[in-house]
Amino acid sequence: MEIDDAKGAKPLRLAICVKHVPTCDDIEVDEATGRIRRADAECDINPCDLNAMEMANALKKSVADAGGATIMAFSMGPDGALASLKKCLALGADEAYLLSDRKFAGCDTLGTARVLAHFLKAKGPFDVIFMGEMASDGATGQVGPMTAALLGVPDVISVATISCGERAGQFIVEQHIAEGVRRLLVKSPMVVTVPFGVNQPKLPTLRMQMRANKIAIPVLTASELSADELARLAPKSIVTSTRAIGTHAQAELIEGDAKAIAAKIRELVEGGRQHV
Amino acid sequence: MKKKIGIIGGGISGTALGYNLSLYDDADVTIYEKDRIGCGTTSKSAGTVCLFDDSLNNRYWDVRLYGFETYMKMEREEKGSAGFDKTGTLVCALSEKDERRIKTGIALARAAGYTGEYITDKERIKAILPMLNTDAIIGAGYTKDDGYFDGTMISNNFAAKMTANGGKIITGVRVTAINAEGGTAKSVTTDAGDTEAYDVIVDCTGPWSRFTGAMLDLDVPIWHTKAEAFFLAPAENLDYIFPVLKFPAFYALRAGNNIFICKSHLSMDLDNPMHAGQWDPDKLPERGGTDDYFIEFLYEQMEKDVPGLVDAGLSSSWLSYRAETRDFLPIIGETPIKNYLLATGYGGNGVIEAPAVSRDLAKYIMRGESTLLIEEWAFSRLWKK
Ligand SMILES: Cc1cc2nc3c(=O)[nH]c(=O)nc-3n(C[C@H](O)[C@H](O)[C@H](O)COP(=O)(O)OP(=O)(O)OC[C@H]3O[C@@H](n4cnc5c(N)ncnc54)[C@H](O)[C@@H]3O)c2cc1C
Repeated sequence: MEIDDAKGAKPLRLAICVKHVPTCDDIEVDEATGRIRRADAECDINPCDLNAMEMANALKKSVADAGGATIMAFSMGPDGALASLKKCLALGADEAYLLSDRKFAGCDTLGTARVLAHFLKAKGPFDVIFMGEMASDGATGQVGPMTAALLGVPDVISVATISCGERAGQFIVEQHIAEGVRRLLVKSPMVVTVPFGVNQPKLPTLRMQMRANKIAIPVLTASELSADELARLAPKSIVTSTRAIGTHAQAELIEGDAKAIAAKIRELVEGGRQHV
Repeated sequence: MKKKIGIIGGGISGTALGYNLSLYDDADVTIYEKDRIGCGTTSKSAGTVCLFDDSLNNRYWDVRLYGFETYMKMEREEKGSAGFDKTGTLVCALSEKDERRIKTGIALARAAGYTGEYITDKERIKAILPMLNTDAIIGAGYTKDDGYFDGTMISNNFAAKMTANGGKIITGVRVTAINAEGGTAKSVTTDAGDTEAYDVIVDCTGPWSRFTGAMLDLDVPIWHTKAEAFFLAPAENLDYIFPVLKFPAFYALRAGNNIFICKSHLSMDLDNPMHAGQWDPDKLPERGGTDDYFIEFLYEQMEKDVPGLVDAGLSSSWLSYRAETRDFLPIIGETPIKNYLLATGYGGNGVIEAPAVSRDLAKYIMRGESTLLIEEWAFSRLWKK
């Protein structure tokens, strides 16, 4: 077997798609329209997109001495999504693009995947395209697989790790399945979707944040899509309503003075410890 | 007959005043807080009360000492009740002027029985805080005796003491009108629909006092300066006590495994729109909201003075508004509207100043006796200008 021709001189081209979402405890539903009130909510990068970014970074790091890699970040959304793209830059992405246009605003998951696929094609080719498995607001989990289908590339869901294989264009992908972990050898290009919590995302450092602030984020608009492509963005599904539901978690309100509360917390923590 | 006093605002200003008023048996005190006790600016504070630094002129050193000792007394009554973390403080001098001020502070601290020394040996300074670059420093004042407190815990502590003395606290209710007749404030109306008459109404709403003042057509001359705080997670675990670190332009302290870092309030320029303006504190997000310019500022400062933090992770940040006057001193006492008093504009020093100010203001309200502090920090100094 030829050893290591894979990690050869050609830099890897990695992409990551992220979504700017309302932070959980802020999500409110507009009773009149039945839609999530995004404009009023505090937003941040979708949590599992951070896991995807961490994975992309780990792959980039692993080839640092073997041709290196570049990471390009994409986000479709309004101007607010710039903050999530900036976060990607601060975490190690080299370039970032905001895909923003009023014509994208009403997109359903398929429309979103079409827009992403268009720009991934335009800026590609990419060896690996990383995506979070699902957005914490929509929670459909459809956009990653749909994008892969539109690009005509394999899609690996629930990815826990990815590393370079022996040959160029081969990657070893570990995937969570119900019974455990499945190891796959996948040929690039591919889309991988990354679930929440599979790794521990690092924090952006002051130095990296400073670098990120200096990188311009171009805005790519619908003017780059053909009339035919635009026509296909018309939603096939619409969200007719969203209902806030109470949490089913069993919560206990700890009451009393400071001493009583402290004693109860101690009891809960220490009690919990004995189970470990 | 008891004197009825209504306080608007349950931050450190309102609760410290409420407690001090409740010590007079002829005072009947009520605090209105639109949210929860100590959850406004006070909750975002660093809570440093250092024995010597540049945050408050040495002219008012007794104010600083009184604040520090008030909180230490709380800690003695119930350990942890003022959230004290005894980290000590390292105050860095970059000029001879800084040096003189620090040395004066040290002399005053020692006169009050605390330790303090001025160190010029850079190796010794680095031994106290290894991640420091001492190139720009000509010396540093150091004490092990102080540190930082928790403004929200202190406010709740004052509130509990006040209610134990018979005072009343109404939370979750916003004052929507202050009603005056013939230039005299008479009552407050709340969003619960109640109107209550008071002999004296004291506005302790900090950065909101522009809005409460406007209820009486009074222009309260405070500006909001951006207090942008960052929490940095150092690359390595700290195996030493990180003291409160004070530079003229910024300060830092240890918060759990993170370092809290903030631009110093006196370095803010009220005429620079990046630093100051007049905004709506109700629109502040709970976290985030900080500006890129601040990252640049922080990066430059850290690269120069604390290189050990340049590669620290940015774990969180928040933005808050300090209510500052043109001379960076608070507005205490009488206003042009009779019976409507202010205890606002504490800027970056509310935790330090609230105990001494509230003691004096309570005496003024209950006995009509003024003090040097009430005179020097009177509203009239600003409207005369
Ligand atoms: C990042 C940061 C660091 C700081 N560091 C220090 C430090 O190290 N040392 C120090 O001494 N100081 C420090 N300060 C300053 C200090 O925190 C403030 O000066 C102090 O907390 C102000 O207290 P306050 O009670 O005046 O205002 P607030 O705490 O803002 O309280 C005002 C209260 O009024 C309530 N209110 C407003 N309008 C109404 C209404 N209409 N009806 C009812 N209630 C109303 C609000 O909900 C709020 O709770 C810092 C501040 C910040 C932001």
